[in-house]
Amino acid sequence: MAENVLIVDDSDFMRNLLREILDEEHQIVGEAENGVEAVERYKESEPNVVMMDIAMPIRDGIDATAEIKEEGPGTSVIMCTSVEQEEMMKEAIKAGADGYITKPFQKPNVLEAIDDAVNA
Amino acid sequence: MRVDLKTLGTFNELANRGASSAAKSLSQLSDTETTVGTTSADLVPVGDIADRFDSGATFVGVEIGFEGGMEGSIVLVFDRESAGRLLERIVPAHWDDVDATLDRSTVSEVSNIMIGGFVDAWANHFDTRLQLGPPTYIAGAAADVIPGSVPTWDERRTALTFTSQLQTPGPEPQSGRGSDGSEPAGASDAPDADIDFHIYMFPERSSFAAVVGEAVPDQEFPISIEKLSAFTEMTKRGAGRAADKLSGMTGIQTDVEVGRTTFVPIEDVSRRAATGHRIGSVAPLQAAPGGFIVILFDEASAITVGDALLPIESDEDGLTDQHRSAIEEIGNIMTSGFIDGWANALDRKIQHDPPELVEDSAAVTLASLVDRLDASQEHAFLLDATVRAAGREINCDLYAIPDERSFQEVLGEMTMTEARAAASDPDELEPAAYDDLR
Repeated sequence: MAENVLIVDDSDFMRNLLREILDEEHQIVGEAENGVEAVERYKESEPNVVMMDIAMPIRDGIDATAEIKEEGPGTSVIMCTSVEQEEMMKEAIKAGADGYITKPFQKPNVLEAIDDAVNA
Repeated sequence: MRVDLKTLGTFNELANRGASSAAKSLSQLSDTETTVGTTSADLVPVGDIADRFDSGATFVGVEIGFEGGMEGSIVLVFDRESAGRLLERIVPAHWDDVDATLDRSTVSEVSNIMIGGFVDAWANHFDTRLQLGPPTYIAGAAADVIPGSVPTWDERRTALTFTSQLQTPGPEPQSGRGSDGSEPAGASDAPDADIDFHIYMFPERSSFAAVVGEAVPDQEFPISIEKLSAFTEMTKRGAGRAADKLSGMTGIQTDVEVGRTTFVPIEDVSRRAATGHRIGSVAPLQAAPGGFIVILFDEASAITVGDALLPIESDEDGLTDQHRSAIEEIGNIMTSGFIDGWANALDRKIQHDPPELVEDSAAVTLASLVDRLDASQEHAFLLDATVRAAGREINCDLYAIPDERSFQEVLGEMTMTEARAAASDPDELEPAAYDDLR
């Protein structure tokens, strides 16, 4: 089933890549470059899936995830990050993230992570 | 063995003084000015030492053991062409008919004299006597001239080395001609290139510790050499993780060639960089060990990597903005690969700021980062590694330049158990699965 997805990443390159990966199967409802924009776009577009980077300027993805999960507990937030640190993963769990995939990722990993998070 | 920053600085100073003394000996022998290029104290696996100067050339030189107040060995090597240029200056009358025996004995004798000067600086500082053994002539590829039997400091065969690179500039072009219009003698064949050579000192651990321990009894901020060695291993593994990320993104198989920790005077940091124009990223670390992570590609590599990452082929030649964007992101991903292992092994979080794209010579990039370190920092630890792809145009240099005090604190907080585990078990650097943590 096609999900409404918000892409959050400060890298133009990575947003394009995710758009390419998701375009055929899901509906991209918005993009954001940092945690502040992510929360704003979330409120505007009400996606049911958020692909969230962690290390971003202005506000990081962990902080933004906590606010989005408070705002909409039913929204699935999947961390899409290059960071593979256990302490950071624990913070993501505490913030309520439903999945965690690390860059570089392949299309099947991304699609599977969305399926897992939505159907959990 | 534990040393403090001041002592490590002293080692550098001694290596520099010893190298200057060797340079002076050579200046007298060859009647040309010889200068010390770079000097550093390094912890490096023995197997990686040769990679540091492996240019594909053949090398000649000597290995000499020393004993007395301290034991160990010293290796001095010239690349074969530099040795030829040196011999031409020292024995010009015999140059045309130089034979292998003369070559060998002259190289040995010159090296022996230079090493004598190098060792004297150490002996004088520690107020001890160091006696040199007979020189053994060595020749071959880089890997062949570093003896396998140098003293190592741990089970990972890490060696503490003091390295100096010296340079003798080529002669000034001779102006004017003889009264008969001929060129000055030897001018037509005169070598015009520098003479480069390297000196490596490999002290044996217990005798070195005894000498240093007696000389610096009060260590305010001791650094365990074993922990530093473990961190060097972690750096190499971190570079391996970064290389895996690069391979994962591009589909190009890459490997780490070198991983080492170098302690250098702050003004020498930029001189450790590879030459030439580089494109890459600089990421400031937000937490200890602080400082910067630098990922640099040469331009051809940046284009290869960018092309592999970009979904559409570019119509433009050379490096495009799309390539730059791709390099910025791969820099971000590789930076995480590089430092995440440290974070997992140390049970801490090490975040970095979003990387800044840099395009300049590697030396200028590193120099600009040195300016951003604490002004009171006189020396720097430089942790670096090189990533290469067999048969493909990918050369990538990774550098970590931590904040000196922060790095010292990290080493101080790291237990010996953690250090040993991190150095010997690759899994220590990996996180648990996310679902298992939930």
